[in-house]
Amino acid sequence: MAVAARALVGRFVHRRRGTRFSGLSVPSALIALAMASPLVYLLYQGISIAPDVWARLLGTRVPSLLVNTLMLTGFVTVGALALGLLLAWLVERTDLPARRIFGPLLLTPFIVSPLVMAISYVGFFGVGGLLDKALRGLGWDGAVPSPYGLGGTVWVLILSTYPYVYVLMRAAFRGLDPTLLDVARCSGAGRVRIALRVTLPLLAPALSAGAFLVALYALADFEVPALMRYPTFVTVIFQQLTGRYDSSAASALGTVLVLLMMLMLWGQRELWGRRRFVPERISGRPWPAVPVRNWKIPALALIVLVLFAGLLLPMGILFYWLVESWLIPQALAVLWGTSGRALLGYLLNSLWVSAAAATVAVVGALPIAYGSVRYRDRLSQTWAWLSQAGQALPGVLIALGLLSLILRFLPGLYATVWVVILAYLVRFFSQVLQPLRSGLAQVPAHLEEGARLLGQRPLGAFRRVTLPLLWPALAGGWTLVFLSALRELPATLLLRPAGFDTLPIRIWTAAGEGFYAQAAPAALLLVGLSIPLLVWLHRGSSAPGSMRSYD
Amino acid sequence: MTDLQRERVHIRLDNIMHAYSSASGEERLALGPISLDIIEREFLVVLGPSGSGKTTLLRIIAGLEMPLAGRVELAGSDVTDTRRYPPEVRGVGMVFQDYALFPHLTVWGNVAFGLSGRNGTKRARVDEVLKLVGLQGLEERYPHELSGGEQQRVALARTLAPNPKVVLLDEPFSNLDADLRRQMRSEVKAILRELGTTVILVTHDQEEAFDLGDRIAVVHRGQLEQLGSPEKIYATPATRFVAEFIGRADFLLGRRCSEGIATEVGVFPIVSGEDRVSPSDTWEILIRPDMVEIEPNPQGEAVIVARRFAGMHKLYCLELPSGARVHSLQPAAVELTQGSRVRVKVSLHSVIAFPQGSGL
Repeated sequence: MAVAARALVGRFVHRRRGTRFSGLSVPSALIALAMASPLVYLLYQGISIAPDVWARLLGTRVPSLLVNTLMLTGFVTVGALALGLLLAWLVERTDLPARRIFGPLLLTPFIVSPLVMAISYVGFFGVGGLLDKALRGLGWDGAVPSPYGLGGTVWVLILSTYPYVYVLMRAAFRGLDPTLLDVARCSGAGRVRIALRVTLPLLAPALSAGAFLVALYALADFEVPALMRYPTFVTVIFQQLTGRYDSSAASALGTVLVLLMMLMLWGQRELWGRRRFVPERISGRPWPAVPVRNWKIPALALIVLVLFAGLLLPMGILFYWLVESWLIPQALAVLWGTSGRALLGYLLNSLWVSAAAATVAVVGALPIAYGSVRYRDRLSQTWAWLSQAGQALPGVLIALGLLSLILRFLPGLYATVWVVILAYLVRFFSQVLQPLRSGLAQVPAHLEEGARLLGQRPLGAFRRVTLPLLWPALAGGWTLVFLSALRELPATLLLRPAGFDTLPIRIWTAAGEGFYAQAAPAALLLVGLSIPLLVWLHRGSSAPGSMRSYD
Repeated sequence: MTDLQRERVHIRLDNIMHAYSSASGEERLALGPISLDIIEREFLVVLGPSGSGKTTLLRIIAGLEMPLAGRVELAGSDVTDTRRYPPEVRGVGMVFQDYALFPHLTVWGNVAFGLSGRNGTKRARVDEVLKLVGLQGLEERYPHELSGGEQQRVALARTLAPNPKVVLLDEPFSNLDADLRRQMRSEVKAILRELGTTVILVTHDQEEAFDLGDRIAVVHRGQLEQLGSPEKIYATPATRFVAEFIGRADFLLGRRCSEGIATEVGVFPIVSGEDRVSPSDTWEILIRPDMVEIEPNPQGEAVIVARRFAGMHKLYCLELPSGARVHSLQPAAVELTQGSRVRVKVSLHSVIAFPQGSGL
């Protein structure tokens, strides 16, 4: 009977919930294609480059760059993974004193953006830097440890990326089910066996997610290797674009980098596939704490060292520069190089561009998120997938793709603020799409349907029911994009109109001229702006959601 | 039935068919083809196991799904096309299984959601409905500050506030615990009876169906198995599925003979209507536990293999010589030990027989 009916019907309705907005796929498609176009165009350019250019690059630059980039990525990933895991373990699973205080404190290096951290390290350890001067003042004329090269780059990148791993691992430790430990013990497993056979496999998904995040970050980062003078794909592409504008070489190198990232993405997916699960805690009992005993002092020393290197040192250097410039009035104008009014100008530039990008991103992500969560048909998923093409892509590559596209098709937009905003959108779109999708998934479609049955039209139901409930996700996504845009350097540097300076640009310019102290006011402003936003985001992520009773 | 036929049909479903494709790409026929008339002001219960398409049926009536084929009529007009007749214009109210209360609105905001007009008239109506469901004084609470029973009442009040002509209830009591469920059931029944709206309630609980329904529509695998009063459905199930799904049922094999159908517990006369399907040699006779009388007897043909004590009565499981098992309902005072032999007497008022292997 069922078969006969099926034959009669001939087609099937895709199971969807909520409201069908007619024509929703039009804006979704346009936005998704716009977001994906720089990457697509970049790859297209890479493919259409003359074979002899390819041969030359593959024979000369690519091998050494590949080695450099992979070494950097490997060291940073291993380092951040080890540090994040160890710190999370100390805070979550041991009886270390004051671990409740250190828990949130260890997140604080997040507020120092990698650019600011790099510049403070260069200014401190560099030739003619603070340390150099201080030691010479004491009559020492030996060499200071150099911040340049692989070592310094790895050090700064580990300090700015370990918090990602730390956050993931803390959540993973908390998600472990203590009864599993009991079961393992009852079956006679010792401590090492439990760690290797139970704990580690359960943490493995979070570890791999952390490793993936850090690796992509290290692969794509521009400012740290650039300031630390360590050539990677990203920094060399930047040089090709600014120095002699060799866009075909840049495209070729960019293509290799994108392929590398795709390989990693594919690897991560293959490795864990469906096994990536969120462990569900069954009993409310906490795991028994592991006694640290004699390791108390080394453990505390490690935490203090991380906090010093990741937060206190960079911040201290910035404040020192600031105070120094105040103490020597005649040098003030020269050192700052800018008046207070100019600084205000950079600040306002930063704020409005970032706010514009965040707002457009939120509005643009709404139809895509709605389609992909509520309809779940293949087309909507495709738009969601395409629109995130810029995710984790280096800003340099996004700028390169956009630049080529615009020069070819929309030359009127060249070197305008709109291109900068567009680049932020492409780069950070997924940061707003993800929270919107999970926020929407938490709003039961029944609520919209209930509103319809109570007489609301589709848009009315969305406005009166879905939107108010989606508010936390909207605000969270907006803040994330705003913060990321506020700190963005490479794409801004390549795309901005002449004279359009933002805070990161100001920091970068000061560093380029060797006047590191000039960067202090802008850097402190940037850090100061980040603090409330990060605190707010952190609160929001740990606070119980408004939809709790509906989980 | 003739009484009902004289009344006006409120909702007519004519050869409705619906199917989904799941996320994994697997296709499933959810419903149909199914035809059903719902009479004005009646309380119809749609009863069936989970996955039988009950909820889909409600969603089609509400206009939340558009059937792939067939016709939906509401008060005489064709509303099949959900684009022309979207849910908000149908005047159909629905109480969802999870209540779907708006978490960002208070009780007052939830109940007033479907009302239009000035605040004064809204307030009067909200007060009226809240009084009806017994929730005065909780207007300012948020949904998560309410108990399960109170949430249920708010959901009902919200649905009733705009005066819907039809009220759909999707397993409304399944999230409540047993005591509260019984209480809410009688309250909801009283309220809806008083309002005199047409009600369709979906459930998988036969006790609930018997308690509430003027008529019961038994649905299985998207098909209508039987439609009728609770008594009729229990006494004369139309299909083997209905017989098994409603009440406890055993089946004994029987052969057609000149006096009727012969089984190992006796020969039962065929009443008219039982030979509606193609003649078959072997039949299955429906035996309900309350039809089976037993009497202790060492020479009896049946052995007691299990017994279950259920307070007011006991249920004995008997094994007949052929190995077939039937159950017998006895007063709690009857005390028989497991393994003892009994004589079995089955008294059937009317014989319900299904041809063996017909799938009916």
